[in-house]
Amino acid sequence: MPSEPRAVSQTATDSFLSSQDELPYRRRQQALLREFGSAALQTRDIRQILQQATELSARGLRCSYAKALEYLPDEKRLIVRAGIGWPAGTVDRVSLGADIESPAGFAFQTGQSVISNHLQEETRFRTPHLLAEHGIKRAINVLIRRGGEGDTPYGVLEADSPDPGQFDDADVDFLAGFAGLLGIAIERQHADAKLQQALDHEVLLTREMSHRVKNSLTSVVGLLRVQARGSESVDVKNALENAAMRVASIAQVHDHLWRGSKVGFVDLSDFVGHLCKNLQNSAPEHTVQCHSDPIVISADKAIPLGLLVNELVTNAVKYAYIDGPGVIMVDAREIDGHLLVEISDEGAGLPDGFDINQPRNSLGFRVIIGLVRQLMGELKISKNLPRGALFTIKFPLDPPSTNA
Amino acid sequence: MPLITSPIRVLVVEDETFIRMDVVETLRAAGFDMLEATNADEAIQMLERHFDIRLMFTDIDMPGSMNGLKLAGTVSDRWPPVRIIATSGHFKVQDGDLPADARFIPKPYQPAQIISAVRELTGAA
Repeated sequence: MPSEPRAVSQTATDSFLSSQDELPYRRRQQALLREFGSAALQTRDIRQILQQATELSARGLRCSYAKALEYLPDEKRLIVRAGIGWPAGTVDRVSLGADIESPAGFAFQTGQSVISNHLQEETRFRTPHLLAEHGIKRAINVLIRRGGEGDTPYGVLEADSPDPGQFDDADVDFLAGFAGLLGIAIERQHADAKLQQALDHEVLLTREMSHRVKNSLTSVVGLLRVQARGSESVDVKNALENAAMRVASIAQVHDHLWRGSKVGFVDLSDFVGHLCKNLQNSAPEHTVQCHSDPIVISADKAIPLGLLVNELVTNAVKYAYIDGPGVIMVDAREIDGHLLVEISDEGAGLPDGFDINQPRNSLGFRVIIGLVRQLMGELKISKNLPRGALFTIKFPLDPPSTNA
Repeated sequence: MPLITSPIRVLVVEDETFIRMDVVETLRAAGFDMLEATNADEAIQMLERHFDIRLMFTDIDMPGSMNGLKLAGTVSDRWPPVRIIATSGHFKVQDGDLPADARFIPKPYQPAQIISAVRELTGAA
């Protein structure tokens, strides 16, 4: 039966330090605590912080052993998470009972710091095996609290010495200083983990949303096609089919959005490749060739660009080759922060004096002009060499974001 | 007397109404005799009732007791002659997900793709 614990119980007369040794000893402790404080701010690696705490506190207490113990609630034990002096294989393997009858367990259960200066003659506590095996004569145990309210404490910080001598109240304060800083570091890591969880969840939601938007748009495409089929009038049929194609090209951007690795961005070469494959499928008589630089662009740029490529390729399919199959090329390159997209064919070419603004009733060209303006870009229409038409679109890309 | 061959019967399984209507009408216009189901359970009932279904075109992402992958497995076990095309806008189908002779077409698909795949698998010229 342990005697009534006198947790921190040293009188000045027990101290082994003479008063002339005391001052440099305490100054050194202060310096080490300060060193730990700034080191703990440098990293978010909790394992490294625990390790530094044990090393620096052992130096400050002139003892060769120290360890940081984490409480495992399921096993009700304290496991060694970092330490100095112990043989290899101690960390993450050796654990001690967290009951009140061991010094570390007492500190953990009561929150009181414990000095044991004569472990071999200790009546209050039984000495854990780990300490007995290494001939530990005296020890200090202090609680490592977590910052924040209501949480179970993290564990215990313990300094051990096999040499004769005395730990005193000021030594306890020194070690408690480390434990306090550790609590803050642990809480900070906990908050980081929670934040990361929230961010991961946000990414998941964003992807889920893109996926739903894509599904809804695909449904709209189906509806428009059904309506087109049901229409008696050729004009209405064509208008509905064109609308279906345009909506399908917006749906495709969302399809790439939820698959992409960067939220809100699409891989241009995947996207353009996919778009061309679909255009090829709907115009099997022609050959649609496509090349794109491997860059990522934001959805804001990809949606109008997809629509533009869709319009211009469809236009070439309809008008470039009057008497037979031909080739339509899509080429997208990045030049000086701009994207240069060329859509060309080797067909009949545009009539002389062609002015894109002229056939004001052509929805296709009104859409093209509107989309180029939305991209804050320029459209150039020229003759393709040796024959056919060449549409060149150039627009500024977003500056690369800093928070990758 | 000329030999009259009845049109090839195809079952479409798709929960999204407009998408189902679109596929059904596309294939009907291409000369197939169409049946439609909105989920796997309905599809099984159709297959139990109509012995002349030659091909099932099914979505993979469907609510209900079975998704399209499970449905494809069941159909392949119970009605081995029925050819299967599965489609999805979500899944990337891997080897072993579908019966060996089933075909996968990712969404979004073009009407022409569906028609040629159905023709190929049913041997309709």
